[in-house]
Amino acid sequence: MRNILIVEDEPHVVRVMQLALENNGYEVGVANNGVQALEIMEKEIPDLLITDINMPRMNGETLCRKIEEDMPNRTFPILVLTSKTEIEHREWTNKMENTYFLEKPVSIRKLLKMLEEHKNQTKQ
Amino acid sequence: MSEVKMKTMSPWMSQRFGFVMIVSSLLTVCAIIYVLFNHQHKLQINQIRSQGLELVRLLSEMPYQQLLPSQGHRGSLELMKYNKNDPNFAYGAIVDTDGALITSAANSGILIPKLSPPADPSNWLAEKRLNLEHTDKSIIEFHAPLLEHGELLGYLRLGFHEPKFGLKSEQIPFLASISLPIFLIVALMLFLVKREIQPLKTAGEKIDELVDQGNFSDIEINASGELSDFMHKFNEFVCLAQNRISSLESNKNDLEASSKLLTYKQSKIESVLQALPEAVLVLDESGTVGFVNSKVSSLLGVSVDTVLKDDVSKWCTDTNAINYINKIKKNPTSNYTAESIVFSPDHSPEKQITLKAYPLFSPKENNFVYGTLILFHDSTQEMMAKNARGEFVAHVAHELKTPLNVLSMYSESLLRKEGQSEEFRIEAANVIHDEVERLSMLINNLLSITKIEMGSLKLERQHVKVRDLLEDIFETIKRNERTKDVHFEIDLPREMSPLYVDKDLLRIAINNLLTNAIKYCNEKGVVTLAAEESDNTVKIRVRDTGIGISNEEQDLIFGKFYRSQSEQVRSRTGHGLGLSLAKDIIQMHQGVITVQSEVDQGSEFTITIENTSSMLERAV
Repeated sequence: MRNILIVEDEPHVVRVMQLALENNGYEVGVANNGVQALEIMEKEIPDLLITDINMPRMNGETLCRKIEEDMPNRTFPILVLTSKTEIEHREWTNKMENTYFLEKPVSIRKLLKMLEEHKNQTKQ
Repeated sequence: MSEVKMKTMSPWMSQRFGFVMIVSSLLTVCAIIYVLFNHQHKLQINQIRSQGLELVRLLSEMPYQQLLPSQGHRGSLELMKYNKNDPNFAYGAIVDTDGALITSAANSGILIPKLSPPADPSNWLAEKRLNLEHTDKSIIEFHAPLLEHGELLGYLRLGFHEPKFGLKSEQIPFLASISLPIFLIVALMLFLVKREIQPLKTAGEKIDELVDQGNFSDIEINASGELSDFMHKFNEFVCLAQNRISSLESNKNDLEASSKLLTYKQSKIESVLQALPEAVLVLDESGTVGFVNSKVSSLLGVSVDTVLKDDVSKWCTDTNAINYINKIKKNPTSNYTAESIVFSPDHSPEKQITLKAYPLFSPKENNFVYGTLILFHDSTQEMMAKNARGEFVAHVAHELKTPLNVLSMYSESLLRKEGQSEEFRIEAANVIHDEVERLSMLINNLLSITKIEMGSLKLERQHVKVRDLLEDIFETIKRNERTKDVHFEIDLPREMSPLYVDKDLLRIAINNLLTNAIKYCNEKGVVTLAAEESDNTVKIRVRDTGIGISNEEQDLIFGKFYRSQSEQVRSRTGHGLGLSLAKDIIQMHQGVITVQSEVDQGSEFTITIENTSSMLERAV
């Protein structure tokens, strides 16, 4: 699992995440919103998708539902960035298979740990 | 109280009473006389009958020849004619068997009526009543057979005048002797009656007077005996009646006063209920709607009559509200719950109405419940305020989270491998600085807006050299804005008169306009700060060549937390407070802020504030 797509409209968040992931050997693609993400995925399916929820043009929830529809046999996991108080987003995230949430503010350490754990699971 | 008409004896009635007494006494006298005369008449007839039959039998038994007149002998029959003792004797006659007259003796003027001899021997001795011809007199005739040696020679007929029923002159003194005492007794009785009646009459007249005057007082008359007792009791009764009437009138006055007081109190309570901003329903103990105020029309869109007369399902469609009211109606004294029902009426679904019932406990007996008060409260504003508060908090939280997220990530990265790069450290320092600035600005804006809305922010006006202020703002923002390739222009008059404003607040307002202009300006676009001054006003313009604002949104952008749905706007950071705060600040300065814009061409915001000289003139 090397190829990660970050869908986030806040450039600073993208910048930090991208830098940290790249420093850890991941290849990182970036989309500013859901529409861009779908366009990228038409060309290349990532190994992992990290998406924010509040974004212009297409938000994270719509993007996830769209992926569910378009790719019923999806194998790559999705990480949704939510805060603790956004319970309504946690509900639909939990209902989707192979979809997890990552708490905001995003901790690079936690993110890398999750990726590592996931990598180990898939190896087994 | 209806007036009772009392009948009293009029003088005419009194006269008639006397007349009736006299007539009655006359009739009594006549009746007595009639009875006497009738008796006398019957006696006379009976006497004639017994005498006549006896006489005819005696004479018929005499030898036939003795009955007939002969020479020197008048005959027995003829003798009877001269019998002065019997004034009733009319005639006597002997007839043969064929009825032919043999001899007769009759008083003068009497013509003996013809009579057919009776054929049946049982009728030979008999009595008959005959009318005399050409007269109105009647005769009682007795006839008997004349037998000699068993041979019927003829018949003997004796006629007597039937006594007449009537008054005879010799009877007048007798009548007078009977009538006079009767008349005297009647007169005496009349006198006595009148004398007895007089006090009654006087009492009647006095009662009439009292009735006419509507007065109750004792009646004083000269009377004795039973009448005196009667009048005494009557006066006692009048006194009792007067007391009772006084007591009733007093009660009536009290009741009227109480009734007026109650009516006044009721009107007062009704006016209080009518003046309430809520729609009010009052149910009585049986659950019937007894009162409805007029607010039901505006709040529920139904008439007062409908609510009063019709079932709840006719004027309310919300199932929960119907069930709630029906539950209370069915058992109005016990079904109270702390819950309230919230629903929207059909006629204006945007409204929110809160329905709640309260028991009407008696102020004296806590266990007694008069009924139920049902209030329909228009909670639309509260709902909107609550929603707005919720939205506000959500907005603020979201706006705070975004920079905090960036700060958290950069600070964490500085401790990691990435943080060892000099380039990244400088970048992180800048980002952290910018985000802290952003947070600081957001918090300042929030505080300022809250203070303005609470009315606790006071303007600290001072004379400000507006040109210097604008240049300072412009330079500061130009210096800080490094991320975007925007060209800045400033166009100020050479000389500008000072403004009497709160310098710090005006700086915030202009700064917010410039920040927006930069944010929404296109790459390589132009942001201009311009000013112009007329006799009375100063106009400060902030112009950009950015994405512009649609006509529909131009009225909305000054709203708190308003952010356009446009992707171009959403793609830029912002918390939707800048323009709202700028507008509040300018309004506090009695100025106006306007916008002119065209989509994809750019926007121009204009602040118009009265200049100092104009303000002074106005103040003078």
